[in-house]
Amino acid sequence: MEWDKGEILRYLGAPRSDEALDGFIARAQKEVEAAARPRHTYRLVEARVEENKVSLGGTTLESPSLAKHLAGCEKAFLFACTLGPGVDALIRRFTITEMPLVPVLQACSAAYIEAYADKAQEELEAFAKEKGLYLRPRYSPGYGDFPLSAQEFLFRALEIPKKLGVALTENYLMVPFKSITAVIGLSPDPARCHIHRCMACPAQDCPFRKENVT
Amino acid sequence: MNPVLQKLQKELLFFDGAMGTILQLGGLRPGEAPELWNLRRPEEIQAIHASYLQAGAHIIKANTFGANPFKCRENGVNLEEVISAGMGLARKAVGETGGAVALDIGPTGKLLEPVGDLPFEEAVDAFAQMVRAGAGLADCILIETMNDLYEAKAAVLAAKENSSLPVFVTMTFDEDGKLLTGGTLQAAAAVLEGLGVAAMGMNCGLGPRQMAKLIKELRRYTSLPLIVNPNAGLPKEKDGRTYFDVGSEEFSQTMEEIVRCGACCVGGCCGTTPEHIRRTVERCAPLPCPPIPKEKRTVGGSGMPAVGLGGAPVRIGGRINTTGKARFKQALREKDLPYILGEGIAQQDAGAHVLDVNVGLPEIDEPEMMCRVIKELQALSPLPLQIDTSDPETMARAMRLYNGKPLINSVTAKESSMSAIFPLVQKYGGVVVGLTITEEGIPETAQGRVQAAKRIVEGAAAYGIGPEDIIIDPLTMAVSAGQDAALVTLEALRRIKKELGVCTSLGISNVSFGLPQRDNITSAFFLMALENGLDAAILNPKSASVMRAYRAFCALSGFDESCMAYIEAYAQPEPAAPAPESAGCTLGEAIEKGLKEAAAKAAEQQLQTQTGLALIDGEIVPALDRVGKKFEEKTLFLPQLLMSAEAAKAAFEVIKGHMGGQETGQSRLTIVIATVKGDVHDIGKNIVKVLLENYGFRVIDLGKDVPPEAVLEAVQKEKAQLVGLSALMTTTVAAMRDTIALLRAQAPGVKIMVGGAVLTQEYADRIGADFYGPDAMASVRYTSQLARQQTAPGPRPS
Repeated sequence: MEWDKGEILRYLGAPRSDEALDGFIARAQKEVEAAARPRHTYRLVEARVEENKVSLGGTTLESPSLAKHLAGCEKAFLFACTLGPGVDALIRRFTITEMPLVPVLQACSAAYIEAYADKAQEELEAFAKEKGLYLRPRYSPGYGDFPLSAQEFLFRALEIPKKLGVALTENYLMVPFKSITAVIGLSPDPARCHIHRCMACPAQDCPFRKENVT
Repeated sequence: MNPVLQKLQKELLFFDGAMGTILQLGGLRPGEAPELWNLRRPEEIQAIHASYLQAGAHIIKANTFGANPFKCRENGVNLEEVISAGMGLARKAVGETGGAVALDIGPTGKLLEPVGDLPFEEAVDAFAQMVRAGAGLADCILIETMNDLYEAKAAVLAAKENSSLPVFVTMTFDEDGKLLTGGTLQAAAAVLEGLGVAAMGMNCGLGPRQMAKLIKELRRYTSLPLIVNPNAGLPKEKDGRTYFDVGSEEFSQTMEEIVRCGACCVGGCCGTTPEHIRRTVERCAPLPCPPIPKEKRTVGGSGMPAVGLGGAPVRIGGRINTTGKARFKQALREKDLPYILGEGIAQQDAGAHVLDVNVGLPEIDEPEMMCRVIKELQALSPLPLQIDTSDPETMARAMRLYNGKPLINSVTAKESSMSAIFPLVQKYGGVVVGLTITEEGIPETAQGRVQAAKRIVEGAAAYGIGPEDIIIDPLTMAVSAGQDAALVTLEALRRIKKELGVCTSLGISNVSFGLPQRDNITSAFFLMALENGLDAAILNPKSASVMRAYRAFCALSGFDESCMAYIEAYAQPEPAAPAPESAGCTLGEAIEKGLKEAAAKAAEQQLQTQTGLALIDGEIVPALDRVGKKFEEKTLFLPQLLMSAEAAKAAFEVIKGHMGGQETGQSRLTIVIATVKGDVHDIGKNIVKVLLENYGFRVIDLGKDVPPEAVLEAVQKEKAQLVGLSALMTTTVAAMRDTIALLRAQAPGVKIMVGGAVLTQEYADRIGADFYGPDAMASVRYTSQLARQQTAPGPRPS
């Protein structure tokens, strides 16, 4: 899989790299690649979008921002992926032995799982293309007003614990941490399908916000 | 016992097939829990059971798979009611045709601590509720679709502690024979056999074709009867529906192959139908029940890979131990977990296969500390652990909590020791190290030690513990205290292996006690012991000469294919002297460059001409300031900032050593930091902690998922002036607000700074924080500023 170094630097909060940082990144990439066992799963569901809520496969979720994001979609993919428990263990391990590498591991694993999700999504894109549909960007619980409690629905509908070995904590956080769940709308209209997910998020001052991406 | 189950491993037995996927065809909605139909549509459940029994199944799985307390709560139903209804329906079905009913127990869907948030004992309790609700009507308990060995262990303990039924466990592996949590076939076999289950195997996840390959391998690892319940092929997706496309004919063909590979109990999982089972029964019933291999191996394991003895010698890292190590004792007294865990990781990196864990110290709560270390170490390292304690209470608690099949150090030939330790091995499983010590002490002759070893092996047999689960340690004595000491040990070693057929282990370093340049003697003795058949050794994997002896032995004894391991270790010439850049730089320069060792060395040197305080004010603080400034200007980045901080810490430690507890200035400020309740992301908090500590502040780290009351308690107990709270998710910002409210009410003087990905200045103001740190450096600046304002009375020893 291709590494997007720009993404790694963005997660690190570094506007550019230097020799020392390059060295850290190269090491962290190697460690993350060795520790990751990425997996994904997805399911196609019927989507019914109303003003403030969305029905996905018969389950209604209250979220105006998700409704806005999925406007015009009649179907959606429920999607989940994880890098597996090894990456979490890796980060815990370096927290004990070499703290300076930890933020770099964190940034690399974040970039890695996003890249993996993009790659995994190619199957979904092929399906959409066959039907003359387009994929909206991934929209995850926690984005906008899409509540984290919606994780319960996604976990049940996708059988995530069984298929990916990912579990939810009492507060709807995922373990292993390096995991993604999302709803991906299928729209007959290619417009609004290439907006980067940051642009759909109201957190204007988020330090990781990616500007001007199309 | 049910007459059907008495035939286990004598005749082939057949399980039923899928329940859930058949219910879906009957209208079960996606996400709807199948066990709810025990109450809503009982006739249909009973009819499905009946159809499998008619197809020839001997054992049916009651519809109780997901009826655990967590899912019952989510579904708003009563656990006892759902389970007893499900058991009743299965019972009724077999009442008509004969057969056995399994109480079916699936995973909770949660991950256990320390990786997830479910404490081990709560998992045991959750499964215990299911067992108590269903065992009365069951003939056996089937724990299935487990993808985490640790959770399977909790379920098996619950089953055994709350019923006397036979317990079967089937796990879900991927095509490589791995569990989602990383465990292997061999580890699963070792753990489940150790826990005393009646049969084990695999179900779900894969089709028969993939399982046929795995079952051959699994057959080699266990002497338990094997159960195989595959899906009707790998799941496929069409228009949002999952389906399975291996038909009954193909399914039954492959099931025949699976029986020939060693399974004695077969059925189906997702996507299989009564027709799949009928054809399988037709085809397989005439086959003979496959035999169980006789050969047994000595295997210990964590939840991850297992380690076998009897092949290449096993290196057990022995550095997590108090003997003669003042710094380690200090870490135990101060509950300095990172130091202890760091010792473990360092040994792993140096090549240990197993880590021995000994935390015995009279003044600490040993059971509590042992459990903490084991739990945390298993979250960091996949290596199997050897639980090393002389306290039976500590041993019992540690063995229960341990994820895997532990090595147990140790039992002796004394009656009192055997009667304390063997029941634990019988219950939890384990490979136990037997020391050749009797009531009279350590026998002086090899004959005496062989006798003692024999007593141990016989004593274990009385508890049903086979010789494959025993390792004998014939004890290394100091050669300086007895001319024949090493020879006696070696002779005993050789004879024990030959006469008793068990594996052996030694702690090797004791041989050189009292002699100069001990590594010479230790390494030579190690080689001699290896040549006499030693299977495992407790050693220091960081010792170059011991590792040289080990690698050379493996290369010369045929354990190192093409000498690859030897070449990998020694092909590069020894590293040259330390890098020149660290030579001759000042303390300030070393810190700026982030050079830990150079900083310590420079501090040492400069202390000859300057006082500690002068060094702190004149070198360390300005250097850290320069680095911090570069970070803020984004000319250097977080990893470098942390490197400088670690270099500063190394210098601080040297200075503290010289100042003998005298106040160093900045440590006057005490900071309590925590990730708030409900949040388990702690990377940011850990970074801030390291920076603050390395800038010389006293930091009390409460960890993650910390309730408001615990923060308050720490603030009051430690008389902290500042609290740092971290939260990553919007949902946990509420917990941050509650924590602040409690502190304002009960500890009004304390300052509060907050940080975390979702926080903003606006949020921080709204929830009443004193300071919002957008990055790690900002929190250091704020803390330094507070420290300067501090006019706290009375110095605090640092």
